[in-house]
Amino acid sequence: MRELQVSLNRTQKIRLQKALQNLQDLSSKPNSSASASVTVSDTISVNHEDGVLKGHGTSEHDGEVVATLCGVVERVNKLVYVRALRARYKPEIGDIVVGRVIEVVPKRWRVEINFSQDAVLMLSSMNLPDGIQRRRTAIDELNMRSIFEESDVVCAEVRGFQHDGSLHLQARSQKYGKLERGQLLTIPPYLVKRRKQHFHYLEQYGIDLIIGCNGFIWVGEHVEARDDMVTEDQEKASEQNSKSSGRLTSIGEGEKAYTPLDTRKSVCRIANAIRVLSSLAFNLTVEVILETVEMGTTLNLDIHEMLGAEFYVLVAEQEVKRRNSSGKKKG
Amino acid sequence: MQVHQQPCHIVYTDYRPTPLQHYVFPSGGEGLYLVVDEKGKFREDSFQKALNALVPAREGEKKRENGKWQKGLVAGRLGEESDIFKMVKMIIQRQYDPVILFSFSKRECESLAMQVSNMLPLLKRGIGVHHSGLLPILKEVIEILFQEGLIKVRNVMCLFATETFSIGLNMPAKTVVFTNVRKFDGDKFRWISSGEYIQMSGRAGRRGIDERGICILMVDEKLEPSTTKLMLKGSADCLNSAFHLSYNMLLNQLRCEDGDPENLLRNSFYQFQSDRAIPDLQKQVKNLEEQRDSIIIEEEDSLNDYLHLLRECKKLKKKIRDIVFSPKYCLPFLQPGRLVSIECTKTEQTPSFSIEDQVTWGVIINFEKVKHLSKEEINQKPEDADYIVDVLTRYLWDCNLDGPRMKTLVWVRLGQIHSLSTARISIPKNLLPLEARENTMKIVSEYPSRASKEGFRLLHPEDDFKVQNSEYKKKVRRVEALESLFMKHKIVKSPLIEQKLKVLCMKKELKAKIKSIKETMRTSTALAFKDELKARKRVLRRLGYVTSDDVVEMKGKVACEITSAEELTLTELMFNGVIKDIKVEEMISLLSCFVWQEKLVDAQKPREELNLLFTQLQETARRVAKVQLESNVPIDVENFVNSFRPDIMEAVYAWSRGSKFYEIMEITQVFEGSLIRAIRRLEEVLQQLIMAAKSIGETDLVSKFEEAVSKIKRDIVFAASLYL
Repeated sequence: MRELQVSLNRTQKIRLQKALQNLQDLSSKPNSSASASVTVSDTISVNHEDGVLKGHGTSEHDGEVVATLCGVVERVNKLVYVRALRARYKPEIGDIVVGRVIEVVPKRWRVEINFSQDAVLMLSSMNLPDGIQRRRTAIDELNMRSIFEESDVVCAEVRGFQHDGSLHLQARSQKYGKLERGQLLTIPPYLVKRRKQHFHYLEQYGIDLIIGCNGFIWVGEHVEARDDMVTEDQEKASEQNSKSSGRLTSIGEGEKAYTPLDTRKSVCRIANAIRVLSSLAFNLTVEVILETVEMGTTLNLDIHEMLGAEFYVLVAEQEVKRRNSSGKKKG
Repeated sequence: MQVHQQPCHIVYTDYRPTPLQHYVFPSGGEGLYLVVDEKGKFREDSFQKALNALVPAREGEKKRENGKWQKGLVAGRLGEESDIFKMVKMIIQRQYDPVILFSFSKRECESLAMQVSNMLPLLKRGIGVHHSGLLPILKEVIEILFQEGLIKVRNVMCLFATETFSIGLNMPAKTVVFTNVRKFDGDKFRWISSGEYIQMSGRAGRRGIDERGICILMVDEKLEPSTTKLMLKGSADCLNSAFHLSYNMLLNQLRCEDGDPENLLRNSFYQFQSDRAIPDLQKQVKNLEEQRDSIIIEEEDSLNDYLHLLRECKKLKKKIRDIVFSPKYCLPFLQPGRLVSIECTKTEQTPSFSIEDQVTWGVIINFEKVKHLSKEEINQKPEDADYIVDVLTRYLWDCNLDGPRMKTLVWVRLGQIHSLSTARISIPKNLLPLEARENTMKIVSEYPSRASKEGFRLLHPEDDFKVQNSEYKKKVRRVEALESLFMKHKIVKSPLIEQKLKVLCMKKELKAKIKSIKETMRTSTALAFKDELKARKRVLRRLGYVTSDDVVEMKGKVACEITSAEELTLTELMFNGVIKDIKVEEMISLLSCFVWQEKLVDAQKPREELNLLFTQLQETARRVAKVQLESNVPIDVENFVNSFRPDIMEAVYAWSRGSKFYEIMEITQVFEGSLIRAIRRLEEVLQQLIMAAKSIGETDLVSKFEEAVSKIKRDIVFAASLYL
């Protein structure tokens, strides 16, 4: 199931297989008792006497509840649903996503977010550069390209589905918006676990890491995010001095400003760590990523060496260790 | 001032361009009395005149017993014109129209209008009624007619309205009449607040049309001039935050990346208000502490000890008296003419410090049982009832004794009697003339000196009342022991003991005050609702709405969608499969319990199968409430369970089965408007449930909710508004 692009020598192969085998043993133990995995058209046993709520991935066929997805059966009270193991990204309200602008159309941008349809980011659900809450005018509409252009990478939050089925995004805080000076990585979205935090500022590297729920991950130079709730007053003061809109200056400064070499190296290191982890199909959390990066630096590996066979094996072995210890903690 | 970097001008006047005159109309009386004139002066003399013109209170009391608060208004006496009729007639004569008459209950509002129209068939057309129970479309018709000046009685515009008309509509009149000065605010009848008065009286006087606006207050009971002044001339109500946490809010915050409920609370108006109060409180504490430290007492400890003993002793004595003077024992001795001593420790602020109780002598005139309004209490045994004794005595203490009637005649509760004497004197039949009373009092005042001479004594509990109570005996022994302790106490001999004790009490009071202020300070410096936030998060985790690291789960997503009903109970019902199992009509009927809040006194129970569903709902609600209680959310379980009302289940059931609106109005006694509002809200809940069902992917349920929407969304209930 894991097809690696790297060539391993014999010992590495054996070590990797052993590590993966270990992982499988670890994960199959709790699974066997807790939830049953099903494939399409498998019958899910339910007690028909009291009403059953059939959730996602289930359907009724000849009076029986059958699975329409491959995955794990989950139950919440009377609700039965199948959680797919490998699925396309399915947005939920409040998700943080990273996407790429593909079209600028009247009053909105169309954004590719790895979903079955493109998402829509309305001009009205976007904080304006001047930070004032007001009606969007025709002039704002004409200036839309000064905010986002085609092929810009943006970060936003899922606002919800409209009645016509289209997916809407919103970017109502300073930390959302255009992403610059960094790398965009694409990984399978099921490797991203939903957590409280998806924005991470890695202080020791001076880097912003945004783990989008849609499997798009941004690693870039840290930008001082301004929370308009807290610093509104200061902002006003500074704005009155410069009298120019915040976003535009940051772009202007961006051309002048120079990303230090160290930061760029860190970006690459983190990106490579993510690449290794995702090709081994491990769940991505900020802790695991940082651990992997640290392992790379302590071993004195060059950035390119992080994609070498030896590092893959090491990461896999590390994962075994970590799960072992967390399993023990739980036990 | 700048808004969006544009200059912004505020134009205001700090006076009323159309001045108001406030009149009082005493019930049963004739004519109006000007109480506050255009210049805002309160006329004490005419206010007193108005009160004197009130029909005597006794009559009002009789009616109250009939359970009618509206009194003279509705129950217009035979052959006599009712007050409201007189009022309208007067307004016609004096051309004070157009007029809005405010009353504080929907039913009263309607019956008042009925009265006028019944009595004057000529006026049948042209009287408007406006309250929240009307069909929304009718309400809008009335608003528009009134605005256009088309509601007319002959040439008079006349509108009966509840408070709904006082806020949010721009519809002034020349005159505003208050048919009552009290309103029911959910648990008791209270005076209308000055803010409410301002809002309603503000409808009087149309700018540019009238020279002055007229407010008429129909008064049917005694008012203190001070309350009236407060009501008429008080300031607007304070704007206080009524912010509270809800699970829905919490969940919606939790599922957003930067949603931090604490941040939300920190930036709330509620927090702002409690923060602002702190410096003031600190100053108070400082002042009080200085005061406390300035009081220095010698021998504080032993004084303290003494005071404690004293209080204990008094408490016990009081308990003994409560036993002895319970109606069971003392009723036979309460004959007219019996001499009685009454307790007269005045108030808590000036407690007495001697062992002897302060008493005064009087003579019993009569006693009677206290009447109660509700039936239950009438059925009580005579022994348990409350009695009031009329006592003629020398002095009056306004604090402890209930309402003086004649100059020296007071009503006393049994608990206030200190002791009864064996002596009885004859009292004149007619006590009304002052002289007769004076004479009687003379005899009474001579009593203490004569008592020793002529061998009168106090009635003894055991010998005369035949008290055979083990509790009583125990307490008597305890008192004896305490009293002997007193005598031995070393401080008893020290001079000025009373003053010292007084000072000690003051100091103690100060201490208690400081403590309570510090407590409020402590709660307000902490983030408001912080504890509750924690508790509520705990509830969500326990019920499986969020994971331990605050990630919203399946159930939480459902609860997120429900904003118009109690989200937890409804979500639990859904996940328990209750909603899935039942028929669409039954489901609609069940959901109606979530949107109906009014309380019907004698609503009939819904039929068997609906009632069964309702009990299921109650069980779920109880379970949810218990989890909340266990997680330290302050909640009253039974209250919570009873907040779901089954009153309109039948009506909604019929409506969902396609009955006509007039048919369902026959099933239930609720007002049309209330029912329509409930059904509209029900539709809102159903829409939210559709979203919720979609989010868990249960398509059967989605179509079920959609069917439900199509069943209730029809006809007059969802008629479009007349306003564009």
